[in-house]
Amino acid sequence: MNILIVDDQQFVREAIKADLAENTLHNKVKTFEAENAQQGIEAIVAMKGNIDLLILDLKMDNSDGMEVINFLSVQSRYATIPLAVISSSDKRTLELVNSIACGLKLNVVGVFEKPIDMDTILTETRRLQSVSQNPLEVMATTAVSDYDITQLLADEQVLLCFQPQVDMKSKAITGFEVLARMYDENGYIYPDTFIPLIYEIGLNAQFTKIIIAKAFKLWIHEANLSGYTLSINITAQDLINNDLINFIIRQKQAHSHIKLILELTESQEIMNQASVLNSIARLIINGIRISLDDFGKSYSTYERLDTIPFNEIKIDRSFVCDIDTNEQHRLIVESTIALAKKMSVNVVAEGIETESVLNILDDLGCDIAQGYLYSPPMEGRYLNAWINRYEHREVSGNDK
Amino acid sequence: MGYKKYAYPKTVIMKVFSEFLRKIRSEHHLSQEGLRALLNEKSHSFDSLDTISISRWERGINTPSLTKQSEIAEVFGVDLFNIYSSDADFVEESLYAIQFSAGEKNDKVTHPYYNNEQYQIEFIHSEHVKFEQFLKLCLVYEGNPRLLPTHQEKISAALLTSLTLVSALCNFSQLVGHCLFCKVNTKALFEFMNNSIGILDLLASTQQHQANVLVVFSSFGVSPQIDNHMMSVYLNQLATDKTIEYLSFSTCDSKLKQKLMQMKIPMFKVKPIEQNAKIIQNYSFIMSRSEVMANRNMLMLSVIPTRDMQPTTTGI
Repeated sequence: MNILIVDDQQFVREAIKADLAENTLHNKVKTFEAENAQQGIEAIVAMKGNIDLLILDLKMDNSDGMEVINFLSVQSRYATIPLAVISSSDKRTLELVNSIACGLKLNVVGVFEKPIDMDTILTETRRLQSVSQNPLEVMATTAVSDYDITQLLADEQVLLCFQPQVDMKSKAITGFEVLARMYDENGYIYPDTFIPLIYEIGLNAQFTKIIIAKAFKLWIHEANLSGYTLSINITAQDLINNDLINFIIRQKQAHSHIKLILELTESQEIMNQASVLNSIARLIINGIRISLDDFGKSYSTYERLDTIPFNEIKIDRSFVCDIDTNEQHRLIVESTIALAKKMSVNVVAEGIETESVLNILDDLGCDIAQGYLYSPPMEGRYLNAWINRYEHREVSGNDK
Repeated sequence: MGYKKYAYPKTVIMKVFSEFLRKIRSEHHLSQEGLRALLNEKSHSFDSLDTISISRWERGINTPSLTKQSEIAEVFGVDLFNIYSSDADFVEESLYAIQFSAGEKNDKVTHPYYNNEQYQIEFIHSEHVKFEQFLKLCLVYEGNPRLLPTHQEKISAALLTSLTLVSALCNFSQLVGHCLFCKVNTKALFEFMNNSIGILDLLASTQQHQANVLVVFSSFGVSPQIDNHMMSVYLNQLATDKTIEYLSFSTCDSKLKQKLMQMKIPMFKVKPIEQNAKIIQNYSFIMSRSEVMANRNMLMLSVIPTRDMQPTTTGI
């Protein structure tokens, strides 16, 4: 068993080692140590990820455990390393770190408050290991890294799903957001899996181009859809690509009746590059509306407000979905809506799942609602049937 | 990459689909070019389709993904379940796949009281004498505090009739697997997932709203074979009841969560529940019928017939 301990305090590392020696049969455990995040990452790479347990201190001198967590999440081959986070932070911070690490799909053994009990950690590690080794699947499925994204993209194994957006006051459908899926012979592949891979190999502009082309084809083909806005995600990286920008503008010019909205997700580093701002300006000049996606999720939020002449703010679902029970989230949403009103831009709330959340948003003056309450993302071929059912009040959300 | 790994199921899928395509084309008096034009007209997934590909699909040299197959089938008013469940080879292959995964790694599934004996699957009605006992057993296993109503609340028998409890028994009395599910409306289900309503309100909602989602609360088998078999019970229910648009899971069982993630089903949300100063995670999943059918593992499980079983008491 290889155990890597990343902690800046030597006495903690020694204590863990002593604990390990007591708790495990001697010789069976090999321990490795690192005293900061960078050393830890180097050790992981040097050991080629061959680690049975990574014990990571959250707060270290000059660095923090989040660096290592982020590293594990971007390097998919290391994401399976069993990870035990140790910290003397308060319960809320521990919960936060736990949910971040789980959200990043890391193999989290747990987040443990110091002083730690190695016995508990080892027991939990073994339990998780036995669970994961249990051959539960019908057949082994391909690992994430086994997806041949380049081939799937070349074959255009891309499927568009749509989620409706509804006017809060009139309850009328205003538009749809495109949510992409890829697929192989095993089933659907979801954005949290393929998006990182696409960016890793630099095919993001090609991907966005396919999405836009397919969405436009549907909107052209189905005449009754043309009254609805068509929202498509775009990133700052996409905006650097001139070919893509030219393509989007050509599409919009050729089909000027399509109400295209580009939902821009941030990427702090390059958002302010001249070329990005230049692209945004060109899009706006050509009648394409810009929406700030995932609003509130990143630090660059306010900087974006200042530099980009956008038309719409989208409040991230993580804030919206529990405003009926989470006071902090309600305050964030409330002030975001107030800000949008003052700037005279539309506010879209994503992640509405229940009526009580919808009612609060309505009271707060939110303009447009989106979420599973209306519909989960649906394949393009079901759009017209859904619109029809919604208008005849046969599906949820249109009770007024 | 990844295309040669499971040669056998893939061959059967190829065969089933090529037969379907040839049949449907002759029934509709379409040439290969006619079919190409029709698909092209109906969906943008077939923009670059040519007659050479159609010919290869029909000859079983190649086959489109289940996602595309599903779109093609829908153009002709059928779904993948109709096509695959009526093919004896495919059903047999699916049954084999379940058993195979059990036999191969036998040493790892040794269970204290189960040694791969025969087992029976039984639907336990709410009027069944053992219903309460079995329900308690599986709730204890599941450890989901949300499924256990507080003691003050009186549970009316009428509410429980909407629950379907299926058990796997060996030696007629030893419980070696179970699943617990219910057909509800998505609106009530999202309220439940967000903790706005409890389990009893969810069950009660079935009396007011048309059910459109099958939600699974617990699914377990002591061996992988039984575990898969339990899953096949509700997948088959979903497949055969066309009014059900979605499949959902709401569970605190991390083993089931892990299995679903291995089957590439995206998690919808995790809600922590605090009980006795301990935090328990409640995992929710939801997927549409089309996602279920395009998932090869799920499609294979859904075609395994539950015809030997007694009728359920689901629905009022």
